[in-house]
This record gives sequence, C-alpha cells and structure tokens, in this order.
Amino acid sequence: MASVSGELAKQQFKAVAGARWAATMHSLKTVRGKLELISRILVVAFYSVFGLFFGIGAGILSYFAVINRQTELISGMIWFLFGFWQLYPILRAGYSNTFDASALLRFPVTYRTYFFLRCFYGALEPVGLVVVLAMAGITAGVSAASPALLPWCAIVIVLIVALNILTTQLVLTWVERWLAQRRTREILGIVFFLFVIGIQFIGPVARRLERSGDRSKAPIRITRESISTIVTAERLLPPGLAGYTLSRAQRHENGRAALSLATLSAYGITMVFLLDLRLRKQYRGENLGETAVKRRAEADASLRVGWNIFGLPDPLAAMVEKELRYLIRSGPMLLSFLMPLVVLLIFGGTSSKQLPQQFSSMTFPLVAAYSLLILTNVVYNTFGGDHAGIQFYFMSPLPLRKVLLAKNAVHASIFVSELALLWLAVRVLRTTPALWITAATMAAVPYALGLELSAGNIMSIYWPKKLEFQMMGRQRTPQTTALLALGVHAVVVSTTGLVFVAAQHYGVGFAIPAFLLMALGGIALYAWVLAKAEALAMRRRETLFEALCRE
Amino acid sequence: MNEPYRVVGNSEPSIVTRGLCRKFGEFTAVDDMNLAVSPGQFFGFLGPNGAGKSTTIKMLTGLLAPTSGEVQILGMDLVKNGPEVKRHIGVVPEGMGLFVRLTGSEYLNFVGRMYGLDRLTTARRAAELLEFMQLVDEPKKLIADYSHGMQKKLAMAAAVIHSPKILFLDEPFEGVDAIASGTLKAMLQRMISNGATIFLTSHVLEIVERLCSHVAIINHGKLVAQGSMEELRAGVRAQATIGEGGESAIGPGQKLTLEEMFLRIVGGSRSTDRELQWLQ
Repeated sequence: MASVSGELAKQQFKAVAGARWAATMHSLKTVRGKLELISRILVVAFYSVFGLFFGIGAGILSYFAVINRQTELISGMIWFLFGFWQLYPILRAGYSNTFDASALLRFPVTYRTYFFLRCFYGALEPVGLVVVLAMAGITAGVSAASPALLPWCAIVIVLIVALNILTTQLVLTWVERWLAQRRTREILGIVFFLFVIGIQFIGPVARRLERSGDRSKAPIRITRESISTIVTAERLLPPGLAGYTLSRAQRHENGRAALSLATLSAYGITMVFLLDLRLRKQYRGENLGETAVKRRAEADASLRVGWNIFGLPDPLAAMVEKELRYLIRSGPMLLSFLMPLVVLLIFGGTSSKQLPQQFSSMTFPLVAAYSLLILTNVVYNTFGGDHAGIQFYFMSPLPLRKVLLAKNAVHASIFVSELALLWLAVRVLRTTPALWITAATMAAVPYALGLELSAGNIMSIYWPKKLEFQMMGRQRTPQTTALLALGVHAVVVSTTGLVFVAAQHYGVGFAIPAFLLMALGGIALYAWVLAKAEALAMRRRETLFEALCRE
Repeated sequence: MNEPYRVVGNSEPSIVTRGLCRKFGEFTAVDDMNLAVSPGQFFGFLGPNGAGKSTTIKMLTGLLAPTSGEVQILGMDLVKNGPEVKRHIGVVPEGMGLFVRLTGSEYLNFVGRMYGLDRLTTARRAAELLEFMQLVDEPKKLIADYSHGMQKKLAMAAAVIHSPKILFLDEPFEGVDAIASGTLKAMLQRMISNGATIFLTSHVLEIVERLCSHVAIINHGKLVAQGSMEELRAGVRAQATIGEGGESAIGPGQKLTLEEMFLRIVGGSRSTDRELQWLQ
C-alpha cells in the first residue's frame, strides 16, 4: 500500500508540475501572458544577480572566518539571511505570487503530499533564491577553507534552509488563522500593539537606569558579561546553533557538534509539528470564514440601512461602503496598511544623532513614499478582490468611471489617513517634522496619487488578477503589474525627491509651488485616464471576467 | 432546420436582436441571431451544452460585446443607451456576480443603491427579499459562506430589488432546493402577471415547459426554433411529416413534451446502448 501511495504521490507531483507548465504555455498565447513571462524572467534574473553577489560575499566571509578560526561568526550571516527571508517579503509589500495548494484538496492527495506541495511551492519565492545562493556561498567558502567541514556544513545549511521554509509557512498559516476571526484578530492586534509599545520603552528605560547611576542595571550597557549572555542565548536559537555546530566540528569536538545539530533538528521537528496542526485542519477542509462556526443567529428584524456619506450621492456612497467593508474584513490587508507605521516604530528608536541631518529631517516624506508602495496591491489591481462581482459593475447603471472614482477615493483616504498617523508617529518618535516639510509632503500628495491612481486604473483593467483578501500571501498583483508599478513609484519618488533636494538648495519656498504645479499635472492626468477608463473597461471586459470570475 | 419556425410578436417587443453574431477567433458561438420577445412573455431559451445560450444572454445584458449585429431592449439600443437600459433590467448571470465578502443584507443594500433606489427604500426591500427568500436567519453570515442554492436565491433577490421590467436569468434553478424553487417560480409568475418580461435559460426542460409561454432553441450558435409551445409543436409535427414522406410518426392526438420536441429539433438521441466497460 505504501508503494502504491508513494507512486500516486509521485504522479500527483508530476501532474501538478505538468498542469503548471501547461498553464504557463497556454498563457503565452496572449500578449498579457508573454509580458508576464518576460517580467518573471527579469525578476528572477535580478534576484539571481543579487543572490550571486550575496553568495560570493558570504563565501569570502565564511572562508576567512574558518581560516581565522572564528567559525562561529558565520551564525551572524545566517541570522541576517534568516531575517532577510522572513522579513523582506513583508516589507516589500509582495512582489510575487504564491501557490494555492488548497485547490488540490478535491483530488485524492494524501496529507503528506499536500504538506510537501504546500512547502515546496510556497518556497518558490525570489527571496528564497537569493538566500539559497548565499547559503551555497557559505558552504563553498567553508569547504574551501576546510574540506573536512563540508559534510557538517552541508547538513547545517540544508537544515537552515528547511527551517526558513517551515518558518515562512508557519507564520503564514498561523497569522492567517488568527486574522480570520474577529476575536483572535482582536487578541493579535492587542499583542501586536503591546509589542510595538514595548519596543518604544526599551530606550527610555535604558537611559533612565543609566542616569540613576545603577549602571549594572542598564540593559544596553555593553560589558563582557552582557556579550557572553547574548552569545549563550544566541547559541540556543537556530542560526546560533548552526555557527556553533561548525565551530565545534572544526575543533573536532564531534560529540558537541552532533548534539548541536540534533538541537537544530529538534527545532525543525517542532516546526513541522506546529505546521502540521494547521495544515492538517486545512487538509480536512477547514473554513476560516467569520461564520464558519454554524451558529444560527436569531433573525434580526431591525432594518439595516446603508451608510450615508456626507456629500456623496447614494450610488457612490454604496460603493465606498462596500470597499471599506471589504478592507475591514481583510486582516492581512489591514496588516499591510500598518506596515509603514510598524517600520517607523521599529526603526524610529534609532537616535536622530546617528543619521545625517538631511536624512533625519526627511523621515516624514520617506515613510510617506514607503506607504505609497504599500497601496500597490489594491491600487494596481483594484478589481482583484471583487471576483465574480466584477460582472455587477457592467450590469448596473452606474458608469464604470464612477466605480473607479469611488474605489480611488477610498484608497486615497486610506493613504491620507496613514500620512496623518505617520506624521504623529514621527513627531512622537523623533521630532516634529518642519512645517515646510509637512506642507511640501502634503502638496506632493495630489501629484503622487494622480500618477499612481491613473497607472493603477489602467493596470487594473489590463492585468486583473483574482486576490484572496482574507488569506495571507494571496493579495499580490501580477508580476508585470508589479514591475510597472515599481516604475511608477520610481518616477514619483525621484521627481518628488528632486524637488526636496532643490528646495534645500534654492530655499524652502521653492518646494510647495513646484509641488502644486506638479499636482495640476497629476490631477489632469487622472481626470483624463478616468474619462477613458469607461471605454477601455468595456473593451477589456472579457479579460476582466476571464481573470476574476473563474473558479 | 436552419430557419426558425416563426418569429412571434404581438406588440412592440421588449427584446429584439438583429443579425446578432459573436465569434471567438475562428469559432462562431452565435450566428446571425434574430430574436424577438414581447412584453409579458415568459421566454425560455434552450439549447444543448455549448450551443451559445450563455453567450447570447451575456450579449443581451451588456456583459459581452457582439462581433456584429444589434440588440434593442425596450426599444433602446443597448450599446448607445447602456446605463438607461440597465436601469430597467435585472440579471442573474452565469457567475451570479456576487460580492462574497459582504453579508446578504449588505449586498442587497449595495445593489439597490447602485440602481438608484434611496437608502430607506433599499433597506426595506432588502429586508423583505431576505425574508421572502428565507435568507434572514443568519444575518451576519458572509455570502462566501452561503451554500450554492442560497447564493442563487440571493442573486435572484438582487436582480429584482429595483423592480425591473425585464429579467434575464441564466440557469436560475440550478442548485436550488425544491422548496426554494417553488417560492422562486411563484415570484416569477407574479412578476409576469404584473407585466414584466422574463428571459430564462435552463437545462431543466420540465421547468421551462411548466413556466414558459414561449421558447427559442439554439443549436451550434444558430436559432433553430422560436415560438409559443403550441407553435413549436405544430412546427415539429409539420417537420416530421415532411421528413417522413407525408406520413407523420407522431400520432394525431399525441401531445409532444418539450423534451421530445427539443430532441427532435436539435437532432439528438439518447445513447443508452453504449456503455463504458471500465465504469463499475
């Protein structure tokens, strides 16, 4: 039976690969598909070069670490690569697609096959390529310096890569679970808030302890003892264990090296166990919907009247209400909107003195530019979450340009609200942004939004992709859209950046009129695109339906 | 059987197509279709799988652009008067067009306001429709968590919330249980008696036979029959008589069912003699 199911699993792996290959080949019959492939090739080429650079650097560093008998320092690199793999996809707001293994559940796929398919295809991220190349560099560097370390190093690196893949899947599946229902979402929100607030207290508490004269209690005071404590603690975690294993193996302390390797494996087993808890439920057809628990609520006789939004006609108000309800119900999407604030809160603790003056004073416009990036998924694929609902826009009497206007209004409001929050955060964490910088940043908003929303509306009509708002990692735009969006971001950031630089040379009075002039251009472009969007959408409606309505 | 038996129309038609054609590359899905549906008719649009039913209904509702030809709804050109036409029609399309991350009540409130109803009227009608469709029990349930039948009922509710003059329904009874199906049929018949026109596609011929006063049959993209049930029967009888050298195989008192007429018109026969050996 085992061999039969093994054979079946092999066939299923082949079938999935074959189906993905066939789908890729079919997609090449369209211009859209060809451009998507070119975009993917460009992205993979970029990440490969990046990865090779990382790999060579990591190889050289590892080589010298081993030669100088400082092998344990390799764990520093592994820490960096581990963090890079886990954090980079979140910070860059998603520039790749993930595989939805749940579609396979209707086939006789064994749980083990499902588990491996999910982990394997989930690992096919460009960032994974970079890290794997860097890890290969470490292996090459270590074995070049000491060939006897090759078997140890190979096992350690394989385990670390596996742990990286497992960690990604673990975080995705568990956060997805916690964000899916209101109660767990609220608990997660509170924990997250406390964590962020906690980070902010580290600096002040440390300074206070230092000032109080009891220097022994100052947590950030670097002493030989504190370094020793940190290193001991670090050795208990996977990257530390990796470096420790190699260093012990180099000193021929094979027993300790093996014990360390066993601990590393125990981490892997624990992660498999935790991931198993989630994936097994998914495999059994878990539904994470708010109403997954069948609880027959009492009939609510009260009349539910839609929102009345001041100044907006009823159909537009209905559209805004619908858009906001969708976003509010998407935990992952809300989390991504919070990212600029989180980045600011985490890195905001850096003392202003450690940064160049110009850079420090530009914190507010910089985080504003970053938050523009965060909106990519909703702005550049604005119909992505509507699925079959897209048909309704073409059946209803409301012109599509008004539908787009309402969607854009919501996204612009989110952006402006985010700016207000970021301004407050900059003020609390650093210093009140200079009046001219605040005014200039706000004056740049219509220009930036004009360009972004115009491009976003066109791309939403040309390259629609179904998004799963409620699932982690499934809120991403197609690759072509992502690249073009990156181009538009580059234009927006470089032109606004030039104005800021020019303002610092020619006087601050230069920036606001320049931005207002640019805003006129942005608004004119937006109005022009919106006027054309109706006809464009009518011409492209079949593409929209094909991409968004299919199961 | 390339020419339709007869084009009917006892008053200004609600739906008219002239030379309607739709090609997908080399494939012609709908070919030179001339259709007329009068006000107050319960019109069944039938055809085998892939015959062009859904393509036609999409063209009639603005979800698909015709390659050539013209569509007139309530005397207005669909392309030139899109928003005005859409104000008077209700549609349950193939994919149902639902926004599944809303609750049933939120969705109906949204749809009603998009059709220009005020907030209070929309809310009242939404509540009534949810009650009528027996969807009121779980007000916080998202549409994504509805069963297929519940989604179908909600799509139907959304299609009628603005009290349309013409209702286009693509397979409205697919996946709907017998009780709900009875409720829906009663609602549709009430709409007909109030003067609305209903254009319906369905694979369930018994339902079409029971509900529809007129039918059209499409096969390989061509309209092969159109008329009232009796006109269709007469047409099939006449065709059988011609085909069999003046002597019809259909007895003089024999009343053909829609299924029998359908099979004769599209030229299909049930293949019960063949079997799949490997199927247990």
